[in-house]
Amino acid sequence: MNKFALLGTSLVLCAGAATAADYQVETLADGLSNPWSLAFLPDGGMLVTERSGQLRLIDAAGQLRAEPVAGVPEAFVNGQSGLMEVALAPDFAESGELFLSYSCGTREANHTCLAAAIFNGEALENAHEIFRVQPAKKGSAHYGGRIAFLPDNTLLLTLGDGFDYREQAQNTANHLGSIVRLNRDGSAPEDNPFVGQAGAMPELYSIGHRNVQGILVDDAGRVFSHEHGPRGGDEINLIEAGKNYGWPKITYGIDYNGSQISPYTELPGLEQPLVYWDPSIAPSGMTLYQGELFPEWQGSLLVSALAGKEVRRVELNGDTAGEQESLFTELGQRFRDVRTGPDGAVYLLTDSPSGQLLRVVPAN
Amino acid sequence: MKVMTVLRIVFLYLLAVLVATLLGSLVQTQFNLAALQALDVPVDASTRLHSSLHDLRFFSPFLALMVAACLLLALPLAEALGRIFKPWRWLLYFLAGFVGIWAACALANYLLPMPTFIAATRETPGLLSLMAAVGLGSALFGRLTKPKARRGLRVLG
Repeated sequence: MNKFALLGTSLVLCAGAATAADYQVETLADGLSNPWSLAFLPDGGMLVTERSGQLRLIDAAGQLRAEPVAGVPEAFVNGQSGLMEVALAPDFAESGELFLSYSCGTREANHTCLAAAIFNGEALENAHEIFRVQPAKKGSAHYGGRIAFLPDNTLLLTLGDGFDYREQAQNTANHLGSIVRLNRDGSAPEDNPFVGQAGAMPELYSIGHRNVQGILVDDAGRVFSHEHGPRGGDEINLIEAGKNYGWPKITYGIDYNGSQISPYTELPGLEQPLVYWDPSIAPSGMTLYQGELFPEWQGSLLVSALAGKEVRRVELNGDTAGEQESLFTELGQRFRDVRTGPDGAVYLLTDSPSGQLLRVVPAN
Repeated sequence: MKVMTVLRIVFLYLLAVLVATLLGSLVQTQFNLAALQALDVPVDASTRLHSSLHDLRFFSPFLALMVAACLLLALPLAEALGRIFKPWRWLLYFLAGFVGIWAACALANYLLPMPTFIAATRETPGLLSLMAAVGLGSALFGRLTKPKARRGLRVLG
């Protein structure tokens, strides 16, 4: 489909709030199978992952290729598992290297895995696994799966606690419920914060997370992440190496069945979130908006939400969070990802067996 | 069956659900706090009391629905088997709740998005304790509905 021959365009006018912007929403692609992640290619095209295991190419002309990109590692697809993030290496324009996160294994024993590959413009070459969460877990929930690059060319991979293994988020002898920092070959950098601690996994960067599905590194090198909490405990955190973010020792949420997870919302030595949401919005992706098209949103975090069916704009005031605004609620969609495009537009993926890629531009 | 008899059985059923739910909620709380203590989280008596009350207020309504549903099916079965295997009536009633809540948990885990609906049942000790709690509730129902033994000389029939 040509992006200039849009399937649908809706004009949405927001009024009232001083921070509101007028925008219109264009549909660039639809019929995507639970799209999960989006990456912008240097030639103007895009790569989109589908949780069901396919990598789709939208070429520079805006055409969604009918055939998925070949060479993608096989993912274990069930429940929340499947193919997750696609992230282009910072030097992708020269190297063609990209990274894919996905769940691998079986229902009885599975992991979050990370693969590296070369994209030649049509297909993946030499896709190979470079990292696998240890140990294996049972069930198909809480994999994390987002990727961000640090200025030193290492990458951060967010992980989940596997749901039934929440106490393991405090155990440095495994990867569950953590954010790991890796070299681009999957090895652990020697200056990782837990290197040298007896029994600790050398890949760990921060611990005490539940299910981290949003992460970004800003121009100053600050790392922001968000994670799904239980009922009423979704969080945005400012991540620092070696810090413990508390799950499940402290939380602002309770279990889905109403039972208490922890009596505490804070304890010594555990980090507090910048923001927590009660009720939960189920944050699923995040971008720091620095485009030119929406000056009102400059410098804000945009957080896509599944249960909330919105994109939550969170203003940043230094290292603290400020005002919030709910965007795109009129679309009534579960949003899986939000990105800032090279053109300054906001790109959205909707979570559905027939999901859409949407582009948000100013109304005028 | 007389109306009063029916009302008595309904009352005793609700009593069994209440007892099983209260015990089950306490099981959930204590296993959760034990898991936190294993992570060096401080839990004093006041915290334990507040956590138990929290779960009785917010968790027990969900558990009560599961217990009510499983006992509604399991108690008549226990009664029928109890009439055949009279000496084992108490055991059959205990097993009715014990196995019934296991089946209810398995069904909830199958139908709901989360892998395990009740955290205490993630591991065997917690699961067995919850099953025992509901077993005690159903055994109480069996004990309170046990027919009175006939006394005196039976001449005919």
